[in-house]
Amino acid sequence: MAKYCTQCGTQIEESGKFCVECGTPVEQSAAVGQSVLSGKRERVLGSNKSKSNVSLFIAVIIVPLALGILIFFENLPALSNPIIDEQPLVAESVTYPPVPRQMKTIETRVRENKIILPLDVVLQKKFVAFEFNNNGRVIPLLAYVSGEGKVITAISMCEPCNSTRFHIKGEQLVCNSCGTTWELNSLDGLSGACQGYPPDAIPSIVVGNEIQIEIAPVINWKPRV
Amino acid sequence: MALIEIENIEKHYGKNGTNVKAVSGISTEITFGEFIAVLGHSGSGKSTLLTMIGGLNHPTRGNIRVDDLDIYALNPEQRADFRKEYIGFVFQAFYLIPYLTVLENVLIPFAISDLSAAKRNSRAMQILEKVGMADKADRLPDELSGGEQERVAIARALVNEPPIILADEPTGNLDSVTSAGIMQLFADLHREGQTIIMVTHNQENLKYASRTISMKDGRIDQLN
Repeated sequence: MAKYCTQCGTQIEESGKFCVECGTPVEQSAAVGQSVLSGKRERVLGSNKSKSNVSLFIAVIIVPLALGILIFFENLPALSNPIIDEQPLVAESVTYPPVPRQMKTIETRVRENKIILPLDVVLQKKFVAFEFNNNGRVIPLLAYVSGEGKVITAISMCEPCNSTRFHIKGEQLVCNSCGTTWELNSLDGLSGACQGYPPDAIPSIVVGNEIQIEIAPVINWKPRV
Repeated sequence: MALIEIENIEKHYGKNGTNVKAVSGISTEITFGEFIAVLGHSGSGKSTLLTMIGGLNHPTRGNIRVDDLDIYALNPEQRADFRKEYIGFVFQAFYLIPYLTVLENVLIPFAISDLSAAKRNSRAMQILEKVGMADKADRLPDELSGGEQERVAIARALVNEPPIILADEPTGNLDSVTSAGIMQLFADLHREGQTIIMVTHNQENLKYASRTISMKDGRIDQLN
């Protein structure tokens, strides 16, 4: 590629040191150029650094922040009761009339560390009360078929008022003592003083004509207040 | 050593089946300290060439190396830094910001600089001195003549001390007397070692440049 004098534009031979027209030294401009350009190339190529700074920022600030937010929300009280979510369906949807349906006490038996309820009886009576006697400590329990057809088993206790009796009225579960109401399907509080203390759900499964409740969570159950 | 190496670059514009070759196959080298005039009629591809050298316009084919940097192989952030470090632009339409004073307009390139405010101001005033506008530093662009506005635009291009000034028809909006003053300013800068590439279609301006690249239909017509 041809070289030209930087001052007068005369073409200079590849090996030329001076312009033959105006005498401008070839090396001079190159030397000035080197000093003006010094550091610039490194600063341009260093722009990669700013990119990695961004990833560093993401790594140091954003990721822990996102994790923090996630953990915060994970630890919030569950919006739905996970035990009720897992309960088995035993019937088509059930509609309760707006008149109180009281609990019917039934007999249960215990086999292989399980409390066994007859499913057909529960289906027929819809809302039953029973007890588990743990070496003298009597724990009240209840079972009912919810509006969406799930069998729900729970400790039959509203701790603030010490009541063990409830009734179903329409789509609500009602404490016989304080009148607090909960939604029948979810046990979410609706009205009254003890909304935070619905019957504490205990998991159960259905095998053939048996509703089976492991006794461990019943024995380990402690009043919430 | 060449400051700018242009290697067989082409630029095609067009869509919907039309294809215009604005620049087709230009190769040249520009040495540090040269004052190049790029001469050509409207549509000859000279402005396209200028914007490609300035890192603003990706060539369809070919490479441009500046200070051994292949500027279109850089990532966009690096190319932005390349423009900041290497290039000062001067446009025909000045592009001064109307509600900022002369000094504030010249300070704009420092918006992305690490210099202290005091250093920025003294550097900007020094450049305004050089272009003969120091006494009007607190004026608004409206209050200046066209030639004065162009001097401010040149000061703005110079304030970051870029090794390369790219000027697109810098005297296109000026009368001949004012043009001569601006061209003399470019000539002074060139004598101090500034590399300048200036697009013009005014034959009068050629005498200030050290070399002319003449363009026609996207190609280099002749080298003087």
